[in-house]
Amino acid sequence: MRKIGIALCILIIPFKGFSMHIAEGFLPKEWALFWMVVFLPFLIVGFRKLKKQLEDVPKVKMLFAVAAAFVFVLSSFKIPSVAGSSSHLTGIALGAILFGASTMSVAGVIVLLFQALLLAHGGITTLGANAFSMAVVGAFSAVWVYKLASKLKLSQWLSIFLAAFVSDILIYVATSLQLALAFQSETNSLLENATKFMSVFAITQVPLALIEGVFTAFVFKLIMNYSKSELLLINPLLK
Amino acid sequence: MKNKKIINITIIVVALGLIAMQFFLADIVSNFEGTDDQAVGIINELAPNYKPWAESIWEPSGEWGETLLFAFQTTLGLGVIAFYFIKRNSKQKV
Repeated sequence: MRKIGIALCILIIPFKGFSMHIAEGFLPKEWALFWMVVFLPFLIVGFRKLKKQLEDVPKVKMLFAVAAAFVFVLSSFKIPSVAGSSSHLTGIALGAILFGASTMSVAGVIVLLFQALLLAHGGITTLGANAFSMAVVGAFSAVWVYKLASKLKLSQWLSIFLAAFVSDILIYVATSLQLALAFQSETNSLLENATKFMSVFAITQVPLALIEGVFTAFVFKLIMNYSKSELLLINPLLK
Repeated sequence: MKNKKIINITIIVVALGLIAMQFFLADIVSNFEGTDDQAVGIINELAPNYKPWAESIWEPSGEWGETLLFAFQTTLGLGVIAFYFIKRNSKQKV
């Protein structure tokens, strides 16, 4: 496992030119506002849940920082895809599985704000939409897939891999749907527009999602080696 | 004991390697267009009259400025992760 992780680190080459989030100003005002309103309850619930977890088990503070840092690192690397374009990983599944899906709204919004303010990547006006696709769709899908895979008695490594893979793909499917909804045209159906956006986002993302799956499984395994007892206190499902 | 040492060294080498790549390799291969740029192309096609109603407050100047800031993001994240593993390793040694 460790060797695979290291090999992947070495293979990853950061690229210039940009990647995944909806750019500043590229959602009409009403849709920008809509997604902010939709995302806000998840952020509030996530913040409360995280606060309670950190109060109940203060030892896991450092682990949450690691989960957020994982999102930070993975979303800073742009990777070329066989589809001929580049995109980046998200890292959201790790924290979602360890701490619960809603807590990733907090980590997600921090990373997206950092990128919007300092790197002109994504945007403040599109923060709600980008946060919803990454930190809500990505996080909840990861947890659901992990639970399903665990019920099917798949190995933990495979369950984590699948959760991260599906989460990564669904983030981009969600982004495609958000754009298709916002830019409906008289000539094309919603499905046709969504397919157009997905042909860019989702296809690029398939090979990257595989890398994300392996990376997440690798780091998860390392964290479980070091901090299993603390994690079981906040998430008994991780046995 | 030997394993822990290997993990520490691995983390440091990978972290430094990633940061170095962020600085030096970004210039070597840059012909892959970002998916968000492609999405903007589709938006222009679907809604040719759409004008973005907001712009980024600030943009990093020049390609190196951008690379440096991305490297800063990577360094921050890797720093936290490395700190955790090194602290855990030293705790387990005690």
